Amino acid sequence: MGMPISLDIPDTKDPEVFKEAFRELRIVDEQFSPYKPTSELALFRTGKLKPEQVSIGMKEIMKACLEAEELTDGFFSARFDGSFDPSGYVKGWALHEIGQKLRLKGHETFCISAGGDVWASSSGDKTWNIAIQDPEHRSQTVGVISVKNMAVATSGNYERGNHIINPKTGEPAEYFACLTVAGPDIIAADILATAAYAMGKPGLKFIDGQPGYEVLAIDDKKIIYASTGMKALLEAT
Amino acid sequence: MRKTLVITLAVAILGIVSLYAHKRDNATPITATTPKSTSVLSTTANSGSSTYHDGTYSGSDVQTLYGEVEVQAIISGGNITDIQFLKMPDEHGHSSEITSMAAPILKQETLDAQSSNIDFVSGATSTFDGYKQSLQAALDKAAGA
Repeated sequence: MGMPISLDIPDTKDPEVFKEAFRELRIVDEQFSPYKPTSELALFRTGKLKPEQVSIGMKEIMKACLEAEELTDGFFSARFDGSFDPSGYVKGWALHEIGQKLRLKGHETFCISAGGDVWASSSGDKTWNIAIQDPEHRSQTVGVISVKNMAVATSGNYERGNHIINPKTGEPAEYFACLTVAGPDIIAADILATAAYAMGKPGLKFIDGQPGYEVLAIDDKKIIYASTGMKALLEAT
Repeated sequence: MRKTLVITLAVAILGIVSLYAHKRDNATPITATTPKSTSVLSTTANSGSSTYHDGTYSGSDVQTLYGEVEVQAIISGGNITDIQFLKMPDEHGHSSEITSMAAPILKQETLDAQSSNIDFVSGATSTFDGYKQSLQAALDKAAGA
């Protein structure tokens, strides 16, 4: 996936637990990396694998990406210039898979992040402090939320080379410097953040219409927009 | 003039942002809501002066005297329930005076990763190169990762 993963599991010091999680992530990368010429994704994109030859796992990801595209009216899409790139979906999905596996193994308190997405999980007293990065000053934050169970996904074009395209205009989405979605599910938060960011101004209302999901966005004039629930989360810290 | 300016700002934001939180149990992570691009600007702008009260806009001086002001509008149920003025520091050094009038809810802090109690950071950092500059990298380093 080309991005570092951070994982914190407070109730264990067993390196095997961490190794296993990173092993699983490597397997995801082997299959879905757009950068590795031997990944299943690369083989499919270069025509070495035909659509009917791809794995069940790949088919499921393709299906999920199409569903996300439909639900977001095309503002989330894995299709670019006739090519297929599910990286935006795979990021949240991989975190989801790892977290679910940790929970099944009895590690219900953890925090995992990749590519700016964060999934905080806690079944006990542990509260996670998740900061939202300032898009202009990357060593600074615009706020911190203290949560037990929350997925946080941020989209933005301030990372060079990371362009989210508005599918209606074909141009990079640039109304907001960044947009953060917080909610119960990391896959959904990721899709929503990407779609809302691509939408520009209407993205805020879109997130607000999703029950259980909150939004924060900063525009290029440094005006900050926050849903009522997000404001409450930020003020509670 | 002053009042008109503030209302213009507020209305512009009202048109852009009309957010309300309904806490409901969600059965599925994403509902089938499709985004509507209809603007609410035309309907709310004429909803009458009752939405805006003189007292709320005492910070309007900031706009004319101290340069550019950031306006943050929190809207609930279609009404502005909170307006915060966040000020960018200007060369006249008035920023401290202004921020004491408003209480910004969003704090910008320079983080010392060693002393911070932040666990994780969410940001639009998707590549390894971006990660190296990122706050998360600093935190990971501080944690001995």
